[in-house]
Amino acid sequence: MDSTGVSTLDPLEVLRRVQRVSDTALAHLTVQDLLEELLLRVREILEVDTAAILLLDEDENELVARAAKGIEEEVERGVRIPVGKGFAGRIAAQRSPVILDRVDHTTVLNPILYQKGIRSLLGVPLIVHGKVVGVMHVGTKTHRAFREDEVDLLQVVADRAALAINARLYDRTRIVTEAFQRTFLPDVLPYLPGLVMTTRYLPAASAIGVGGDWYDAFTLPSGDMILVIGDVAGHGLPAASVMGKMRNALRAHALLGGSPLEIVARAEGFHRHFGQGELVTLLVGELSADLRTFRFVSAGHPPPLVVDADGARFLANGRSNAALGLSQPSAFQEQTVPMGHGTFVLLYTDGLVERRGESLTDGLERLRVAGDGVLRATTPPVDALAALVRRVIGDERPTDDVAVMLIGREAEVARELEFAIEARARSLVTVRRALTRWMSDLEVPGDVMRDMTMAASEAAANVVEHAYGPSGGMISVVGKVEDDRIEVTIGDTGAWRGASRQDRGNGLRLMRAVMDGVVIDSSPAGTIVTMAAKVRA
Amino acid sequence: MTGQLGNVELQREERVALAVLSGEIDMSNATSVRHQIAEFVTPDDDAVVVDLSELEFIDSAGLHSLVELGNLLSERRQQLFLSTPSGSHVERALEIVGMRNSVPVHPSRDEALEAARASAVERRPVEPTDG
Repeated sequence: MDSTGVSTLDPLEVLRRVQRVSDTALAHLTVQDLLEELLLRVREILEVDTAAILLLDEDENELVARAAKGIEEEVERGVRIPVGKGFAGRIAAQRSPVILDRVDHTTVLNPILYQKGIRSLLGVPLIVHGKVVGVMHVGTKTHRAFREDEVDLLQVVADRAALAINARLYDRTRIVTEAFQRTFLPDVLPYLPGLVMTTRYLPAASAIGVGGDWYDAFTLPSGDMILVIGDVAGHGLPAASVMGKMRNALRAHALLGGSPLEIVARAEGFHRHFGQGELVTLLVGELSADLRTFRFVSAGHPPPLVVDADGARFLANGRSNAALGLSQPSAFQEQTVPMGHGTFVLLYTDGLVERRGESLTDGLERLRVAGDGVLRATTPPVDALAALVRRVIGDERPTDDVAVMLIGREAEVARELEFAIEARARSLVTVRRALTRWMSDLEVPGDVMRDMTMAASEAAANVVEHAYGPSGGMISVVGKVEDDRIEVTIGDTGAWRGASRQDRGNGLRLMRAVMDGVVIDSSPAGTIVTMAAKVRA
Repeated sequence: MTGQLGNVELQREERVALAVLSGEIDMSNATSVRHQIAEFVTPDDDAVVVDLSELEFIDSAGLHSLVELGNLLSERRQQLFLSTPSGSHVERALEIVGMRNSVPVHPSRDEALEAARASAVERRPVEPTDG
């Protein structure tokens, strides 16, 4: 294709040609289709034989061939050119157009170019917001002296392309990363009666910020709850996938049993063995099923904020607070927080307290003051957490991901206990712990407490076994104290199937033997078992 | 160990399989506990002792799984012995459901082990059976 006869383009023709790479028909294409279509049009408007787009892989600082016309092998072979090397690498490094009049091993890194007989090359950088995101180049198989106005035209096309590619790539990355991220956050928080719990996850405002923050909470067979909050350094899918691995590993580590210290030590070993040196900070806490104790271990994570009647304060993280992989497992230290009525513990990732141009100390102090103001007021905790986050980071979306998790105990001792829990065998321990905690708050004598807990557990087991079909239902638990009498009712809304098994008969026998009164009230709407015991002072 | 609801520690003392239960046994882990013990017992064991002294809680499902274990063992001419201190809540539960009459209960692990060894003398060799 000889272009010697082409005269300088008039401005209207330039506009018409640019129009062809920015028309609305391109707006709905996927990134790949968009690249392909742009190259076809570029080839046409500049009357060249080859056109290619390479995008920057930031992690490797290499340009990767993403689309090509006339030199499709470039993409098929996954050509990668280090920034600064060869033709494309030079364009990216110097951020300006490059024209090659001689195409051979001395001028280009990629042999495909001269193997295909390309004689002249023109390339321009793809720049978005001042940042090089790739390179677009065109080539001819006959010698051609690219004119300045052609260079300008390709640069205009490249600018348009860069914006479109960038918007779509980041949009897509963002959608995928956020979706991926969210699959690892718990859909439903575990339930412990008497515990107030609420969480928030705010993805970063910019697509590049989304990534490695997570929180997790689940109960163990013992009824104790494990809370995890963590942060994988870096952003995007790579950080999110490390986060996913750590989250699942921690669930497995926690299920093996043991203290937060042992769980973190296992996570440390896991990360040392399987990790690629990613920077991971995390905090593993265990809230006892009776809600009285929260103990935690931090590995490089910001300190939890504790708010109670005495005010808001941070808990020291122990003698070593190194991120995973940077510390000896023996250096981790467990901290214990007694959880009285009205005590809140806030776990968070550093996005909450880090602000550009501000020291971490100032950020932490801002959080402490906000926590003191918001959490000691008697707002419902969900609103309180939202208000707290708003006060700390403002109304705009954060620049980095933010994950926060708030747990707390009701402000006062409840004279009445009332809750409902999923009718599953694993809920029985939670029913027992809730009753024990409630009765011991009310100073019910130990033997009465033990008998009532046993009877209620049997009644609840009956609900699990008999009240519902496999689609399940709820166990409702109500406890009341009147003078010298304590009364607990266990209710369901199911239609009982026959209680023929011997252990269920034994359950009723146990209930009757240890209680002063057991009344079973069955109706089509459900069954209510009322158990009463005398409380001797 | 924290995290688990109940724990089973298994050991063997002179042809007597010993299972020491701790923590809590309820409907959620009763079957698993029974399986863990049953899988540990071999045809060479003359008897099985399940020590309930360290148990903090056991419900009727847990007691029932012990009855079932006893039934499985008796088909193999292996006897089940339980131990729990006199006056303990576990002993009271055994009493209420009438298990004291069907399974020998001893106030300590050592006494249960001794009784188990004594029972071995009476045990005749049997062919291993399925199930």
